[in-house]
Amino acid sequence: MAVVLTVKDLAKAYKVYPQPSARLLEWCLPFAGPQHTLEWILNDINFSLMAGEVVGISGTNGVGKSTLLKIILGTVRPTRGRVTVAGRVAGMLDLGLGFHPQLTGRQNLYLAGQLLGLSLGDMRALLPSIINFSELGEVIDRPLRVYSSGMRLRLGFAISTAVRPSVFVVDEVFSVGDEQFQAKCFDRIDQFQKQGTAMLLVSHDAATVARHCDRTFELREGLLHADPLSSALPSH
Amino acid sequence: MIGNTIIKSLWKYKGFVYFSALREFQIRYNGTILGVIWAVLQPLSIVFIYTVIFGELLSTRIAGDTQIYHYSIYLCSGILTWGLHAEIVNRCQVMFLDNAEMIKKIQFPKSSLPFIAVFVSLVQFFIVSVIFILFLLLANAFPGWLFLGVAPVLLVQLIFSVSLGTILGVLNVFFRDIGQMTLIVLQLWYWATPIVYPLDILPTWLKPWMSLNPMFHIMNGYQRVFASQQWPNFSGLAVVFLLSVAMSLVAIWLFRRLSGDIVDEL
Repeated sequence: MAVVLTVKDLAKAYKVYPQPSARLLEWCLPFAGPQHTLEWILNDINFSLMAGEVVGISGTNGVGKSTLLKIILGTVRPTRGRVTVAGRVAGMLDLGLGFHPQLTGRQNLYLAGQLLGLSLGDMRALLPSIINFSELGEVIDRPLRVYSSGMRLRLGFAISTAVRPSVFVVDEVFSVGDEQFQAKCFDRIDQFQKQGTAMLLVSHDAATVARHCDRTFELREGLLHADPLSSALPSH
Repeated sequence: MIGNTIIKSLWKYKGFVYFSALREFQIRYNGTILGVIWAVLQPLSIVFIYTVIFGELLSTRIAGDTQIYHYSIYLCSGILTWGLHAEIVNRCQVMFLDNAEMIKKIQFPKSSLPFIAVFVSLVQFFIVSVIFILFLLLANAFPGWLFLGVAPVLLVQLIFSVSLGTILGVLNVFFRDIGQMTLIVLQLWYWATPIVYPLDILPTWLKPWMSLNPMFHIMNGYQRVFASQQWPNFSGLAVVFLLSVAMSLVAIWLFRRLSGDIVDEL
């Protein structure tokens, strides 16, 4: 099996300034030395994903799971190290993809489609199957502000998985969906997996992660620890 | 080379720019009965106020002026285009903060944001301009071929506004004071530029200093075309053009340098 995602020597630190004016001082007087301290969130993260693999990462709140996913997705820049992807990464770090509450579900789908780089023609062709998958029916033409979080998840998941990515990252969003829809999501992920998509699932709930994943890690103090439980549990 | 990659990624996301602009309009006028007419009424009300207060009550007139609509035309040519400038600067200034969630969670070129701001502002500006031009035609004051002189002025203005706005937008992420400051400075700047009043009423010692104000050359270009029926002063405009290009390079440099920090700070 081919490697689709490689994370090598990845580290991330955020700059922390004692007060906003300290940054101004640092910019204006570069010779006076740095005014910030670095807060290291991730140290030396190394792992790779094979095509078709489902890997889970668990960890307590604020340990840097989301930061790691954002770096893989390409929105946050790593301080050190690099991420290599063969193909396209898609992900759901949130229930929506830049969804706007005033627009209808359908209008939001068009906007999200553009954001994912789909052409208008592709979008028109995909729309019926996306709406069908979301099971939103007539609600699709009502503004998003009337949607429940479960309905938002349906819309978001349907559009972000409309085209099969090489790597799919998900940040503990499934909990808001009902059981039937969660099952449907994992069905689709299974299908993608068979076609070679690698999946990275992140949750603070180690049990959820273990249930769906081939391998699991625990993120602790900026490092990934192979979870000893994961080999004991049968893969799904 | 820098420009090339930006243009390429923008071309890929042209649909996103278009849809985002459309979204802005939908959101803004969603649920209103008059819809986009509000976009016209707002500047129209300002022109009305100034025409009545300054034109009639304080009888501000351009020297040797006999035509009844003349002051209104002078006002419109400045107010409408200043409105475009202020709108672009204000939108660009908040573009990273307003789209923070999207920037953090979705990968897309952040460089498309200023273009969305310009696009939305331009559409609104064109709607108002059509009304203004219709008014000129009715008042038999359309400048004819001189109208073409507007194009270079508008181009320089757009580069200037979007560069300034982007610089402020980047800085605003790190120093929120910039956002507060911009609102005040734009107000002062508006009154420091001959838009409501003509240049002639300024004291003689002050007039030479006016050429240091980039917006003076831009506003003056429109006022010459519409109110005086003359070509814009191209030498003054050329200086502003060079300044704008320099500012756009600063904006690109600043944006590229701080692009990673922007995401961390949002």
